[in-house]
Amino acid sequence: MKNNKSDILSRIGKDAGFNVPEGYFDSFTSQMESKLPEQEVHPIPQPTKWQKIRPFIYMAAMFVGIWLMMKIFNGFGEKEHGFYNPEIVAGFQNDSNIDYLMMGGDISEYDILTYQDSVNTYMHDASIDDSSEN
Amino acid sequence: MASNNTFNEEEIVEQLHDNDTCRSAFTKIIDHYSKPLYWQIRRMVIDHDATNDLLQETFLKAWTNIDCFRGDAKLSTWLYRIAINETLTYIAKEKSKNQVSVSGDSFLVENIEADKYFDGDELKVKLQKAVNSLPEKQRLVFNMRYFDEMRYEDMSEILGTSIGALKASYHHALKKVEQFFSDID
Repeated sequence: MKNNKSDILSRIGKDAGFNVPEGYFDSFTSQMESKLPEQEVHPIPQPTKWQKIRPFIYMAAMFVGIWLMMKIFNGFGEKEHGFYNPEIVAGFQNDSNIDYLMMGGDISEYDILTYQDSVNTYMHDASIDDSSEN
Repeated sequence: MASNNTFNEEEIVEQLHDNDTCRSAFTKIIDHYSKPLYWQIRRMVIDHDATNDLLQETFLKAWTNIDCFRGDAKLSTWLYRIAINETLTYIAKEKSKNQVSVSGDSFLVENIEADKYFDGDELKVKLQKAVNSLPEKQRLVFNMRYFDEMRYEDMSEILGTSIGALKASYHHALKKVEQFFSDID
């Protein structure tokens, strides 16, 4: 059945059966040209240097932005690490240093105790992390 | 999509935007594309005089809007789009004039046998009737693919439809045409 149907299309071929008046295409171009109105065309505007490099500038700015953001976030990390500087932590674990600060320093007793508490908490958390990693 | 191999599109597009050469460049375009565009329109509207008017309208539109053509798309794509838009507008007008509401444009082939510029046999008349019973988009796809053997990539650019959808559309159109023949047998 399918072959019969396809046979029909192959029998018909690609010629649709249309024709045109004699010499139609030979005279069409000149006829058409005479009908074109006079008009001025404008040259295609060439892109400026800025338009050419703009995408690259934007992309570079984006990468700089990402780099800056990474720097800022890393900076916070460093600060946190600096707050629990190992030397300061060791110093605060020495009682004589605490006594010295309490007696002769400008820092109030409350501040020292608060910091010592936080150092103890930090040391405790760090020891838990170490043991869980092992 | 057109036949002349000496036609250098890049050169022509450059000349189109120069006041000294634009007219002669456009004449070359008319010479190069009048035939393929004519047959594209003719297969849709059937009547020679209507085709002639639409073809002239297509080139006039292209000429008056030549500043809008920046060479981003292919020249042929741009011209085919204008021609197809003009053709579909004409068919829509004819439809409303004839108060046709059914799908397909069979009214266009009603008097095809009497057309002095049609010399097809009975089978060709039937094929035209079958093709004109298809919805417009399918008819466009069928004509471009079956008669012009246009590549799907080119059709996709002209019609703004994906290649997959065009293949499906052509497949459906073929089935319907074949069905039309088996129904009248």
